[in-house]
Amino acid sequence: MAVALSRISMRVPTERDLAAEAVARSRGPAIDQRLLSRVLKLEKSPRLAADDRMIDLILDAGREALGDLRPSMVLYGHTLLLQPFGHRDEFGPMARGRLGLAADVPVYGISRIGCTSVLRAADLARRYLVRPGAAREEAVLILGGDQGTMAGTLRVIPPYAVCGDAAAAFVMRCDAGRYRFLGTAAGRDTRFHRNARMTEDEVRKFGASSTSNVVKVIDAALASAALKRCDVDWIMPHMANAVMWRNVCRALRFDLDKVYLDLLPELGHMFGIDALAALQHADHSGRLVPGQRCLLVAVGQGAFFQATVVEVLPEL
Amino acid sequence: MKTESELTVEAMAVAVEDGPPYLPVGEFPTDPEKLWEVLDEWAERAPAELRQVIERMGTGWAAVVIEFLSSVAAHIDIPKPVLRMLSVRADGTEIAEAALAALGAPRQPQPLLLVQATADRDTTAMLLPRLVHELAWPVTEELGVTHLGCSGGTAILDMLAWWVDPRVGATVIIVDQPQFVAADRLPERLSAVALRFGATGPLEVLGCGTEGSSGNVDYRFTGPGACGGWLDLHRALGNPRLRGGDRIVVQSRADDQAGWGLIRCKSVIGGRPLWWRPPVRVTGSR
Repeated sequence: MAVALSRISMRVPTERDLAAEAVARSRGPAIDQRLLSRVLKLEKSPRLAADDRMIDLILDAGREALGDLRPSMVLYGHTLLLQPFGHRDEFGPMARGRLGLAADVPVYGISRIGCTSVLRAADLARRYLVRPGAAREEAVLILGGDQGTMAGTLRVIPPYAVCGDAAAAFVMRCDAGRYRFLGTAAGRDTRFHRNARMTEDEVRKFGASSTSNVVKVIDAALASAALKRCDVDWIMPHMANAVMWRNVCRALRFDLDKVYLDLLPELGHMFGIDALAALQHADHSGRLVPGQRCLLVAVGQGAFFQATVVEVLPEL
Repeated sequence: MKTESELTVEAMAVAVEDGPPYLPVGEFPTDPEKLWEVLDEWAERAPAELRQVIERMGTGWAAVVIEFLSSVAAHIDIPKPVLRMLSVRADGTEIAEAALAALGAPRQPQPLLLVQATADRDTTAMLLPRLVHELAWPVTEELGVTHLGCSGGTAILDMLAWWVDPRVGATVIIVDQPQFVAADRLPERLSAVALRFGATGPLEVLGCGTEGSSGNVDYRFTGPGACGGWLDLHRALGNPRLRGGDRIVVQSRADDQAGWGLIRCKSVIGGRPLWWRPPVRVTGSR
């Protein structure tokens, strides 16, 4: 039974910070905006307006993605463990209330695996939908997104990713959707569990580990779908910076032009929803046609890696 | 009741930390634009115990803590003078790791799942990859589950019913350690329950729920927080009184929510299980 993702509903605030301002505020290693723009392709990062709330972005995206569907489960993939909501365990009840769901619909936060949480949530949803006894019409709502501006000190991941505020949502079902789920793979390198307490040497090794592990999970995801690198039309990237993808493409012997980096200068990194934002933008811009295969890639601090292969389906 | 699976509890272990170090945080800045300007001043004026932790953990940690405190102040109605923060232990001990170490490595590769509503105790590091790294167990998949609140210890059973292949099993660690609390609501202890699920254990998971009734049962183990009744079930296993066929409800609850898990003793336990150990007590250096 084939499982598919719906089109992606995105919510990105209109306000922007300059990447260099975010770096300076975090007291990261000094770097000027020209270097950030020219080499890393990092220019701006979205931020919530003063009177906007992150939970509204997430649940608005969820409501749009659901339409008239009633999911049997909601998975919220998030990176940050302290959020501007959830202090009173209110996220589940609030999500059910705002999305019009019954009280017994489970709502799980999926986290502690860094920015791979949303793609992992999609894999969990796939397994749920094909479990023994599952009803064919069941749907799972996936929510994603974090408020990077809540903690300016954690907003910049050296060297360099600048994390912004945004949310995404989509629905997964059997035999219905825009992107057929073909395969996925996860990896980890837990030497880097110290996260923001990593030494400079650990940060340097983390960069090298990211390149090799991204290559590994890409190949593993393709193998799980019985595909090869040459079968991939697009990589929808984790949007840390352009240098990372030059390194990955060199190691993969993959054309950098097939990595969808159009959003990188304007949005930078948005935690677990980078690849979904790229997928949505590419589709909305008419760059995707049925039959194309896209690799969605995420990297998480800790460190974790996830790649998922989807195939674009014709519009119903 | 929700779902039935072939899942059993094969073993469990408990770790507790009595009198956990909750520190007053003093008057901290809430304007992010002024964070770095006032950081040193905050550290100098901080209560003595907190000042020692700042010196140990460094400026970067202090900056993250101030931002977290600012967010907490904005979203939780606890006045700064009575706000308390759980401190990182000097020896870095985590009750989650202590409970898992007491449980021991699984016989075969299997997933590891961490159920915890709050952020990691060290806000600058990551607990789950640390557990995977330091335990060096054969972990096939690691995952954290959040936003289940105080019913997490039993609500997770519903997810396990479809996520876990009973032939492979899974290790689940449930952690209760509130990070920010009011001075008059300090927990007397932190707790962690490590559960090994599989197909061959003496305790069969029959179902779970957050509403409704679990029906007639022989024993009902109840407690606050996500670990809730698992702690009393563990205690009962150490003082054997459960019999084959007994139906047990494990409840986890908070003020306004509750969850329950229904369990049946598959066979006469007839004595303390071989794997049973008293709770690990995390003490000493803070």
